[in-house]
Amino acid sequence: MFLFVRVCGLAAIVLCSAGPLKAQAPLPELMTDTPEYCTELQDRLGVLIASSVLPPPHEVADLSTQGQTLCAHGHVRGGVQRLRRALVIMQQHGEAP
Amino acid sequence: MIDTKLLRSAGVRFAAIYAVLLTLSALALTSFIWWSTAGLLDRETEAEIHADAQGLSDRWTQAGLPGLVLTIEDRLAQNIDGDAVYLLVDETGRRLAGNLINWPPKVDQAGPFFELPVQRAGMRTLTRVRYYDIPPDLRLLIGRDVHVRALLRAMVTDALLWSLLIVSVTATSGAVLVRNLFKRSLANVSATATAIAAGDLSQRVRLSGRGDELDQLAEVINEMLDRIGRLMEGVRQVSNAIAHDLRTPITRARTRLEDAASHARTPEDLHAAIERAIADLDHIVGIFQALLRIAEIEAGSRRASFVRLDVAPLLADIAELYEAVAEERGVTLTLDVSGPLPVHGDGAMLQQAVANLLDNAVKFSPAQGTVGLRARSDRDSVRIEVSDQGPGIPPADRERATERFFRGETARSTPGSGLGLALVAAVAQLHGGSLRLEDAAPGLRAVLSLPTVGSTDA
Repeated sequence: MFLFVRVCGLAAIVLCSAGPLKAQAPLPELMTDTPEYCTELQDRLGVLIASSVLPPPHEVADLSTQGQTLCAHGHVRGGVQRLRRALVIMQQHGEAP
Repeated sequence: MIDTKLLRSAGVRFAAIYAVLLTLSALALTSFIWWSTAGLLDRETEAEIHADAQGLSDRWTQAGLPGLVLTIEDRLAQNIDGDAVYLLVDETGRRLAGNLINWPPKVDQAGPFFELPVQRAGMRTLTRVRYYDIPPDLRLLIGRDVHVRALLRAMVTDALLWSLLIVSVTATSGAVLVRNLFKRSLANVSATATAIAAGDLSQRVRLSGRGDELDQLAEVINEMLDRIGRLMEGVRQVSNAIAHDLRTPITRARTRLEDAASHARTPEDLHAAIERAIADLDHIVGIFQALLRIAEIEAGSRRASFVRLDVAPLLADIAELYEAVAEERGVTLTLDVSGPLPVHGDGAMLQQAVANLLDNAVKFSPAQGTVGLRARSDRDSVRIEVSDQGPGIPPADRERATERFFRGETARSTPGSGLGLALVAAVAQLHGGSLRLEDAAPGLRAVLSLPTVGSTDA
C-alpha cells in the first residue's frame, strides 16, 4: 500500500511540474531551447574556429556536427548541449599556450 | 470529554511520554535528513545564483553595460548543463540580454528567491530565480532550472513524511503496548496488596522468573511481607505467652492472699502469706522489666552509648560473681579468656548478656558439673563461649530457643521466664553480632560472636 501511495504521489508531482503546458497559464519562455539559438551557437562556434590560429580539435568538429544534426531534426536541447560543449572545448583550446 | 481517570493513570502517562519522545525523535531525525538532503539542494542553488550575481556585478563595474551583456551571453553559450536563466532589462522592460523572453510579473521584489514556472521547449519546468537591481535603471534576473532537483526534493520529502507517519503509528502502538505491560505488571502487586489489606497475609507477589526490576521489586515486597508476618506472629506469640505466663503467678498470689484472708490465724501467718504474694508479684514485675529491656534493645536506642571497650575484664568480673553461685550448686566454673577483646558496644549490656548465659549454664548443670567461660578474638570477631554439661537443647528447639517465653521440655521443671536467651540474642543483634547454640556433647554451648572494633570500623 505504501508503495502504491508513493508511486501515485510521485506521478502527481511529475504531472504537475513537467506535464504539457496548460492553455490558461501563459508562462515566461526560455529562448535557449529554440532552433534560433542553435543557429546562434553555430555562428559563435564558427567565429571562434575562424579566429583561432590552431586547427580545432576533432572533438569540436564532431560535437558541432552532432549538434547541428540534432537541431535540424528537432532535438533542440540535445543539439544545444553539444554545441555548448564544442564551444567550451574550443574556448579552452584557444586559450591554451 | 477526556476521562480524567485515564489521565491520572501512571501507565497512560508513561505510554504518552514514550509516544511523544519517539515521535519527537523521529521528527528531529527526519528534519535533519531533510535539511541535509532536500535543503542542501536549495542552498546549493542559492549559492550558485549568489556567486553568479557577484561575478556579473564585478563585470558591470569593470566594463559597464556592454561588458555585462557580453558576459551574460557568454555564460549562456557555455552553460553545458543548460540550467542557467538570465534576463537583463532596462527601465522600460526591454530585454537587453538573457534567455527569458520577458520579465515575469511574479518576480516583483529584489532580494528574495522565487519559484518560477517557465516554458521550455514546449514543456513546463520549474526555476528558482532572484531579482537584482542595477542602478540607476537596470534590472537583472538570475536563476537556475531546478526541475530535477524539485523532483528529487519532493521524493525525499514524500519519503520522510511517510516515515514520520509510520513512526507515529508505531509509537502509538508501542505506547498502547507499554501501557498494557505496565498495567499488567502492577496488577500482580496491586492484587496482592488488596488481598493483604483484606486480611489474607499469606498472599505473595508472583515472580515472573525473568529476574528483572519488577521481579526484584516483587522479591523486596515479599521479603517485607515475610518480615511483617514474622513480627505479627511474634507479637501474637508474645501476647499469648504473657497471658499464659503471668496468669499462673497472679492466680497463685491471689489464691495465697485469699487463703490467708480466710484461714490465717495469726498475724505471722498473714504476714508470711503477704510476703509470698509480694514475691510472686515481683516475679511478674521482673518479667515486664525484661520484656521492656528487650524491646528497648531491639529498638536500637542504646546504640548511642556505645564505646570502644575490652570485654576481657568484664568477663573476669562476671566469672568472679558467678563462681560463688556455682559453688553453692556444686558446679565448677572455669575461665579461659585471652585478651584483649576489643569491641564497640555497651559494657553493662554485654555483662547482662553473659550473665544470662552463665545463669542458664549453672542452673542446668548437674552437681559436680563444669561450666566453662571461654573467649577468643580473631581478625573479624570476638567469640565468647559459655558451655555446660546439662541436658542441652534438642536441635529442633535451638532455632526457637531465643524466642521470648520459649521453654523447652527440659526447662519446664526449672524456674525462669523464658526471656534470658531472647535478651542475649537482642544484645548480640544490637552489637552487629549473633548468638548460636551448639551441642557441647554433653550439654549446651552458647556462642556469642561480636565484631571486633577494627571490622566494625571498616
